[in-house]
Amino acid sequence: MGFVVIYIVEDDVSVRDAIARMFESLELSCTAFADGESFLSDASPRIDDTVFVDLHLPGLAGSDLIEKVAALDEAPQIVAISGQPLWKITRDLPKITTTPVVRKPLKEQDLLVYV
Amino acid sequence: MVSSSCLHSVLDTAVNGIIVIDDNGTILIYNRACENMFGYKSAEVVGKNVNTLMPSAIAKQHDQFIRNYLKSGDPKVVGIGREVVGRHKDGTEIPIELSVGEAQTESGHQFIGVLKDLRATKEYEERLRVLQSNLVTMTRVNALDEMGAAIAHEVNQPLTALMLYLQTAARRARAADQPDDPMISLMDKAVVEAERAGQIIQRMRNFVERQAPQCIGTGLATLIDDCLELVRVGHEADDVEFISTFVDYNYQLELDSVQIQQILVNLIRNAGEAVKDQPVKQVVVSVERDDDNVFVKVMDTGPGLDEEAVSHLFKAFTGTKRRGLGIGLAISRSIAQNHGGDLLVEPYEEGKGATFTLRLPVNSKATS
Ligand SMILES: Nc1ncnc2c1ncn2[C@@H]1O[C@H](COP(=O)(O)OP(=O)(O)O)[C@@H](O)[C@H]1O
Ligand SMILES: [Mg+2]
Repeated sequence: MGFVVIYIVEDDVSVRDAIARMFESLELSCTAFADGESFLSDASPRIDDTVFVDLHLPGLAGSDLIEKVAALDEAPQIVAISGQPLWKITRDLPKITTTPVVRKPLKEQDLLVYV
Repeated sequence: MVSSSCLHSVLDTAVNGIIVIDDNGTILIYNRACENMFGYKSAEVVGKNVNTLMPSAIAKQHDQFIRNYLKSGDPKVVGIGREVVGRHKDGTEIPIELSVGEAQTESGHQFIGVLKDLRATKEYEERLRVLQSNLVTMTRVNALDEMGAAIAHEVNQPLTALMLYLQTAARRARAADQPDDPMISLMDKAVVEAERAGQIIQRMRNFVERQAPQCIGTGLATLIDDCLELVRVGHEADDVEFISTFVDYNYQLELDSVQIQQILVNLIRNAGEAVKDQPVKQVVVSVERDDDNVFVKVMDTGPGLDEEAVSHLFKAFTGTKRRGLGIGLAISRSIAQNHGGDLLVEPYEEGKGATFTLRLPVNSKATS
């Protein structure tokens, strides 16, 4: 069954690039998207994959994207990333899922535990 | 000669309270306005000493006051007028503006008191004062919070990238064929420093985190009226008309009233500034509703805002005025968004003023 892919959905250019470079340097296969819409139209995540979703996205909100991805058959592992205060995160995150949240600023260890 | 019944109907039509006493302090005339003011019927007090209508401390001395005046002719209130305190039948004290005249009649010396009930005015002034001071305090607190949150958020992104770049670079340096140890040590130090900056940001965020909106049921129409009143105070000189068309005083909404007031006061104040030099000076606040949202619109007859102006309207720290009560549009918008709503400006239309729309969600509470 092919290799595992890591997806990143993050609107900030440098954060997106830095995360992608970090995974690449560890020889993990990684694809990055600037918004939820392009992720949904171009990516086909599988059950062993991991999707990192920034909660603060233009257009389709991070929380809505998480809900959509979680609803897929064979949904991948989803991890939310956010720089927002805690009360905003708890307000925005869909209540049904138990998505883990990594808060910015973060270190590579914070992301690596999920892959 | 005016008939006595005519005189009584004149007395009873008067808006102010009118009391006539003789030189013993006995009440001779007590009109209908007094009945409302003091809660006593005319029949209950006519013939009694006027000190019935005073708090006991003053009541005790009043007869003496009259005697002193009659003896010395030195007026403390006659012909001068002053603010005094009366006592209602139920015991509550009433602020009164009192002016007193005197007359020599066949039946002796009489004093005529005209009384204006200051309760409404006082309450109103007090309410406005409280509103204003709440707003000032909240504005300061909010501006600080928002600035803190903005900095935390803006710095967060580059810091995250910086940390990951450094860690990745350090790992690469370690993996090289001939590792450059001094270089690796420098990069490790840089990582530690980036981490330190991250901790500062986190502390700052924890500080701001307590400030989720405190939402309670609030009458929207009253809230809008209050905001208009607050802004009107500063516009007494120029004839700007501030109007609210929303009169559903039963309509309640879950919101943080002080925060929403700040937004509306800023919008109404901006609108008031914009119409100052226009031929028609009007600011209208209206409300529209659908199933999920309430839209509070602030419309003015000013010059409007073209696309160019709109493009940097909501950027942080761009306001022109040094702040007294005001908060800028950037903070206004972020408060609206913290409520799960938004603040938008309607597209420019030639010849029309500006319209700002504050959207607030109806049932979803902003707090978790
Ligand atoms: N209703 C309006 N009509 C025209 N210009 C406006 C209006 N509201 C805001 N502006 C413009 O936007 C600017 C920024 O407003 P704001 O962020 O509230 O800061 P401040 O009021 O302190 O200048 C104002 O200085 C004004 O030039
Ligand atoms: Mg302003």
